[in-house]
Amino acid sequence: MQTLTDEELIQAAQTGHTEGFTLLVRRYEQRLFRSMTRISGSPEDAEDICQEAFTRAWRAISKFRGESQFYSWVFRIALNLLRSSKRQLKASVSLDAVRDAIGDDLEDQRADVDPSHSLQVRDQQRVVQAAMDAMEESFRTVLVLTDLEEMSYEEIARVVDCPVGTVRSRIHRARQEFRGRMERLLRQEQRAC
Amino acid sequence: MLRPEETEAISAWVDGESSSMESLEVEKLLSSSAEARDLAEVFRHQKSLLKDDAILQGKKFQWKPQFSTVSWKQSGWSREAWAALCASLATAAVFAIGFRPNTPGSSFFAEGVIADNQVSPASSGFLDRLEGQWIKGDSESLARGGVGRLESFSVEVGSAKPAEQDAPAASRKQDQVAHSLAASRHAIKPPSVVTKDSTSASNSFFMDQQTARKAGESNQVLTQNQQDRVPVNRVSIGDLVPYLAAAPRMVAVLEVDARQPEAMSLKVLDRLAENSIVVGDSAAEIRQNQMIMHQPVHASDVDHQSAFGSSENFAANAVSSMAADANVLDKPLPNARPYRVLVESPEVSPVNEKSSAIVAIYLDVTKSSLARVLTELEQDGLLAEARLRSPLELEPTLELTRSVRTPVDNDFVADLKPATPVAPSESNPQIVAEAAIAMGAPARAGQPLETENVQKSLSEMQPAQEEHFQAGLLNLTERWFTQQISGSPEHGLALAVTENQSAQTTNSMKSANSPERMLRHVQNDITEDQKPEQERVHAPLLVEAVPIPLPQLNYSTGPESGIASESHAGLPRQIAGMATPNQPSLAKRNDPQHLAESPVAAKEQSPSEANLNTSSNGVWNDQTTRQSFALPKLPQLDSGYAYRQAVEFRMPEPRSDAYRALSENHTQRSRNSATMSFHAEPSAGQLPGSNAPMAAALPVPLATPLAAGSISETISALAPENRIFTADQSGENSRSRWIETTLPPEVSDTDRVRLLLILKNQSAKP
Repeated sequence: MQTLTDEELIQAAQTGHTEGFTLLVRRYEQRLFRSMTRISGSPEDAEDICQEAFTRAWRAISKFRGESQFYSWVFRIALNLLRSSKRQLKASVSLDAVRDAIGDDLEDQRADVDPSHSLQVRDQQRVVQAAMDAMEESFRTVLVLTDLEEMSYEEIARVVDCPVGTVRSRIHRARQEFRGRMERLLRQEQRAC
Repeated sequence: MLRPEETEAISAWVDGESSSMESLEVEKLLSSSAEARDLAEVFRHQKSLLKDDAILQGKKFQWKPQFSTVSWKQSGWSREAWAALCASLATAAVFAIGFRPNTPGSSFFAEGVIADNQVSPASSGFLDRLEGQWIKGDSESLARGGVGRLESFSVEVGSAKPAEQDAPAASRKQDQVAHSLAASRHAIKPPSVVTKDSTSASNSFFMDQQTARKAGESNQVLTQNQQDRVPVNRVSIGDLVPYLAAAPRMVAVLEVDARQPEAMSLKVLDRLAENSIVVGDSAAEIRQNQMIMHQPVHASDVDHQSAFGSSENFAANAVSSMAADANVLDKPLPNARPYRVLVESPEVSPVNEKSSAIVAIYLDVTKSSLARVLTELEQDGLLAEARLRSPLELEPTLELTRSVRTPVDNDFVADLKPATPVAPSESNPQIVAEAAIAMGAPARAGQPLETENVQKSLSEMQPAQEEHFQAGLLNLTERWFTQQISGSPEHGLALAVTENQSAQTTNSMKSANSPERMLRHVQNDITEDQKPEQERVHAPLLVEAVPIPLPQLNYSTGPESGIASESHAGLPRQIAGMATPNQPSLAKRNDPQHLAESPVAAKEQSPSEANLNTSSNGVWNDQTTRQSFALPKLPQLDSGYAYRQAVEFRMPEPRSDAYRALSENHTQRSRNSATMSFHAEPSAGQLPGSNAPMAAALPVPLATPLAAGSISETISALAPENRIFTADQSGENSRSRWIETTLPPEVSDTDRVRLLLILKNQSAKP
């Protein structure tokens, strides 16, 4: 059985073969979910957004002209949904809450061999997500697109609808801000200890 | 100290987005500056941090119920949910919108519909297998108290293989021990439906409120014990997406939260009327609406009752020790009409306030009307939850608009709609064999049945019905073939099928119910939705004249059940399903007292209804939409609003406020219509007793206020084979009424959405 390309599946879906769309959904749902979780900070919200994004994509699949990748298109739909969602406003995680949740385990960032490594990784990720949540959504988005999705700047520019140069500078500023927030968070954690 | 341009260049370099010239400069910088090297390392580390999936905590994306209030974490439905619902309405052909009783042991299930299902996508993401459970036994059989059997199935694309064989549905008269044992296995009733695992549980169908809450929190299934094991429905649009290819017809289920069935019925009927979906109680209306109104209180087998010491009459059904998960189906009745609906619920103890009276309304409506009704019902707080049901119904086994006949071999094939791709006789014999295998072996004669509601053993099941359902599965399988294969030549969808199969099924893709056509209608609907109401063309949905597989439900409504006696009197208005003062329109419209004082209030309050009238020939005209109805006229569809409705609801308790209000409503409606007069024949003497066979049931009056003529006129007005059938089987001491109406086949059109509204007395709290 050959592997169908996105274009073939889109064409099938556009002509009413819903199994084509099904395959597209299956192909990208986890990927989109992961990115949306990063951006929204909530897997639950991300799940809702992804589901709705795919639903909308299905409804509008006939209008998809293939000028961008299918995933970029769906991602943009999801991003718009996220932006319009009121829940986005609540996505920010209280640093105190993060601190309470993290406890004292963050000092050792090199606990690769520690038996409680997985737990610490989760705690570390909470800090990472807290730093992400504290950033502007546009910064979170470009960071996710470039670091998680590994999209090219050109693709990112299409998704976020801005010039490539803007994407480049935005990514740079997002990284700098992310770095600063991470450092502040970790310092706070150390002081709390 | 690095300059901003340099840090930005490093950032781009880390991403591999630097030009060759810039890369040289960055590498030069990195070789000369430790700070630059550190910064590059920081950026790389950030990338690795963001790539870490620990934030997901192992959670994977799963489709969840699109319309679940639990999942949406809000009391109402979001606009997105409604939009999605409308989208599904546009693509679905058959909808069952029903209420899921919230008490363990109560359930709703539609015949011929998968009771539980899940999709098992292949690792490639392509849906290659479908697993689930269905209730084997067609609606007629089950409606007559015939044997149903919950079976698992597993269908793969291009093949079908048998799944695990489940315990057969149990007889109602199983003893407690046997019942408990059986309950641990798959049963016909939800409490006994054993979910396979957490994944399948999340896709299962039944849930109660507690379970829903828990599911909303943890997405887990509540399984404290077997009695309370209520699988959680998690069927969503996302789940339906794969089904679209398999079955163009989908069944959607909306769950309706109705706290007081009588009041709810009035409310809902009122809402329907407001939206030009009038439940008719006259011959003309019946012609138009195909109303079925009955209470599933049937008891015919006296011997059976006496043998087991309990009544089959729900209205008089006492609480049994097996109340918690007792399913009560109707007794088999000779000559029973096809559209009896079995209402299933736990028998309710007088001390148990959680009654489960159910009011079900079946409708054939247009999408726009349906959307309006649902919106209003939701605003009224009557719709608690919406769920999309598996579309994996087989070809419907009953014709709503025709008399049911006993299926014979290949009868199913004879009833196939144009969309049916391949007749079994033309299909690959291997498919037939596999489909038959997938159905599971028929029950052995004398094999103990599990639930109370089944009155016969499987051995009594007509062989023709076996064939009927085997053919159904065959059709399902062939649909898969059709959908899959059809994409092959044009879109390269490679599937392991033979050329012969491809030739057979590709042609079928040109059928009227093709996805292309569906999609076209979706687009039309979307376009229509964007128009102002005045400009809308109320084009009927693309739905074949498919008989709706009426659900089998059973419920207990007798005085002993404590349900019917739970009128809204004495209950808080909200609990009683009545409008609160801050809902003026509702309060005015639905308050029985108000209705009693002003019987025409409902009509006066219904602007849309004011636009409705009935012409002298009984054709229903909708003046509002008629002028914009631009589609080619269909027979019996001049106005586009020749709604066919099948309405089932439990009559309120006599002398209750709700009953009086309903009666007044009926009377007024009859009075207001020059041509629509309900003819009820005051033939109480002909009423079959509570234990009388259905065959003896003759048309009987609905209620005194409705008696305005002869029901024989109504019958004669219908086609001979489509007559109204009314039965009150419990005589004077019962409120049970069972009315069945069929319409002439020509009334049927292919452009309606069939809707089932089931309202339930959710939980009458003191």
